[in-house]
Amino acid sequence: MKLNSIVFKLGGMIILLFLVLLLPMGFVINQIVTGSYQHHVNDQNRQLSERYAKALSDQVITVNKLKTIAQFSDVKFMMLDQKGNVVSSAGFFSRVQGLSLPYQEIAPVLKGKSISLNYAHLLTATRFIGYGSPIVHSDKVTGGIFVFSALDGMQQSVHNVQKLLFLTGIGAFFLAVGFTFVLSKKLSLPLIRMEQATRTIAKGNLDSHVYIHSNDELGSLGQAINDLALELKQYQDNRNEFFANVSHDLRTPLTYVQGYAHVLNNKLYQSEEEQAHYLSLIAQETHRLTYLIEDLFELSKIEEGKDRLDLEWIDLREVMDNVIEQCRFTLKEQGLDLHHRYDATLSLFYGDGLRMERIFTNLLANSIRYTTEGSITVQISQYDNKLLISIEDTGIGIPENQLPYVFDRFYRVEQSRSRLHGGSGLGLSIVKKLVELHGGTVSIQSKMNIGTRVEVEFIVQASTAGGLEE
Amino acid sequence: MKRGDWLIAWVFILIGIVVLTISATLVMGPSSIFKYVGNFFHVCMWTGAAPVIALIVYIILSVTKGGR
Repeated sequence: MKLNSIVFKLGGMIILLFLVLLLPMGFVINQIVTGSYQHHVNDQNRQLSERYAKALSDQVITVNKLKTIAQFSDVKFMMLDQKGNVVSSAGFFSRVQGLSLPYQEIAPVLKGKSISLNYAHLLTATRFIGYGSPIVHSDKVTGGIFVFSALDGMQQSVHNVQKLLFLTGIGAFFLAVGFTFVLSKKLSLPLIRMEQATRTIAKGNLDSHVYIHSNDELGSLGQAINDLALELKQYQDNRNEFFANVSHDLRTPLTYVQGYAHVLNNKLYQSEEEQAHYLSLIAQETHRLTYLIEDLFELSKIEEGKDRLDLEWIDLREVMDNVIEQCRFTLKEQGLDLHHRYDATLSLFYGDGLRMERIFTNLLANSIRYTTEGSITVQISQYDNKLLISIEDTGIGIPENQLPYVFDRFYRVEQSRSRLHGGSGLGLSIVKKLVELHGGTVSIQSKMNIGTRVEVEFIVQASTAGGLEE
Repeated sequence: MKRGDWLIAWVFILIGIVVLTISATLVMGPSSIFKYVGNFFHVCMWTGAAPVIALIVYIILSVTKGGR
């Protein structure tokens, strides 16, 4: 397992987060324990000090008796006179009678106020926490009594608690490491699987799949990788099919040209009419080749973004009329009727006239190619700021499940159909690209053996408001 | 996750629980093995409490979402 792997990074982040929470929490718990212990001791000292002071003030107990009680209960106290001198004490290791406490600190007690203070024994250097209460006789302060508790014992207890807190922290840390390990492994597993799948896909195994059964972002990413693999596979299949088709489409006319050229070259024809016929066939096949190469070139230019539009204000009716005129001979040859209906008022369209002609030519050619009998209806209408061009035929139609792919590059509905009717599989793809270049949309509806309807929609720019009247 | 990964995780978790048990038992002063076992059980219970709560919340959410 690598140190810079996602498992370590994720685990490290979780542990870091855990420590960020644990360390300040440990400090706060330590403060709470120390503070509450100190508060408890101080409270105990206060209660004892006040009780002793009251008992001495009321003279219900003598100093000697108090001393005896203190020795039995392990209480440390000091009794002071009016001047702050220690007159009696209990619980201390050495005699302190006659010694003075710092007057500034004990002064409030001698003035009748209760105080808490810290005291270090002069001889043993032991530190104490104490509480002092005044002894009052007939409303006159006659001295004070201080009850002390040694800090050593308390510090020892706090230290023990700190050790246990530290041990608890270590236990919690190990527990967190264990759970983090499982969690980071589980979280990183889908990513590792996806990485492996993408590498397999990159090596060309497009049948590779990611199996992630979750509905979150990771599941979505896995699905996206699967979709990508599927798309790539489809693209690869299309490309292979295209190369097969293009090489076939290029080879077929070339074979014809080669054959007819051979006949002509070796003077194998029997009459001048036959010679002319062969020449016309050669011309026809070279035209077919030219169209195919032009289509490929056009599509390649559009896809590379090199194709620039020569924009001008155009009347789509004129463009459509030109295209219909060009197709008139083919229509007549196939015995098809063509109806065209244009709205009386149509806005001018800001587009590339030649590209528009290409769009209409491709669509109309497709309709003619796949319509053996019946009619073709061309319509141009305007709704609000939209121009709608529709071309509807009564042709052989397209299976419904093939409709989403008809605008794909190199896509052919059926191989046998394209062999029979011609076409490179690029016409509709070029139409879609050109329409999109003009900011429009193209859609197709079709029913088998009933017909096909292609709709192209463009947005009309505001400056053409008013329209062009027929 | 491989078996080795699970082993590592369980070792860490077990060490954590044992250390917490020792800590919880030592604070009470001199202890018997029964206190250790009792505390071990309690620590395990508290450790499992969070995952169990999370599982219950997950089940409730799944059922609620599935019911809609």
